[in-house]
Amino acid sequence: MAAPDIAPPNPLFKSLDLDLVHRAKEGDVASFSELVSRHERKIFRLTQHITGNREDAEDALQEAFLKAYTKLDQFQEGSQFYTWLVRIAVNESLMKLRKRRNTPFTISLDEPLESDDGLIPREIGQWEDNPESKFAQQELREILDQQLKSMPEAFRTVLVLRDLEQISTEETARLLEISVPAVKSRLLRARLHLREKLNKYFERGKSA
Amino acid sequence: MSTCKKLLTELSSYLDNELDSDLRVEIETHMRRCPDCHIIIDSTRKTVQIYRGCDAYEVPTSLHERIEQAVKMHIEKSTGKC
Repeated sequence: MAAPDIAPPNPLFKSLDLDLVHRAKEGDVASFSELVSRHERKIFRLTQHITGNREDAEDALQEAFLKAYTKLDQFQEGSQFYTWLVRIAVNESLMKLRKRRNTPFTISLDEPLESDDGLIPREIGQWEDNPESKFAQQELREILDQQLKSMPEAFRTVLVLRDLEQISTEETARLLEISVPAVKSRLLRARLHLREKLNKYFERGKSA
Repeated sequence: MSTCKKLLTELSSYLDNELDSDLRVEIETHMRRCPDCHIIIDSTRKTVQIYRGCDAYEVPTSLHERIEQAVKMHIEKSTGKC
């Protein structure tokens, strides 16, 4: 069976990014504004999913772009601007999470999560053939937002980086300062957790 | 370790095509005989597809303007303009 498809990055998109970065580095603020417009929607999704909180997500988005602007000189033009921006946005989002560390129902990103707890599926039912077509995009987003909020932060963050941003396991480990086996373990738990939560929406014959 | 438990442990690596061929064959052989494991793999694959297909978020105009304002203020501050 084939793994889910991953769309390759569009080379024209990357090339335009680099052109804009180059001009922004020379002081053209309009070019930087264009970079904001091109990426803000995806970066906002990332900050929203990691923080699980609208206010923090908005602040993290703003701070990520501001930091990107102030550190633009450090960007190596041989790399991908979007990936560099993702790294900054992840760090800003994690800082927001750390500030909220004392709030209930959070799990430390450093806490070992390698036990078998939560691995055993409870909901086992055949899903619809094309589950995503059952809901409109807006409805689906609301369902995902809701279910992601109930997921421990340590799982959620790995899921965002690996499955949404499709960042490699190794790079995810570097970003979160955890080991590669820990990334794999958390990704497995995150996927199973989300599967369990989505089951009631997509199990064949159920109307949620 | 039972094959069901092994399948669960290797589920992510299986979906990401990261398993060596022997283990992959072992899991696929088991999956054909075990309906529950077949359902778990199928629904987890669909979970990943649904999540990957999640749309980017609309950024409110006020937030977009806030970002531009923050950059503008940074420039004014760093160039000494009021």
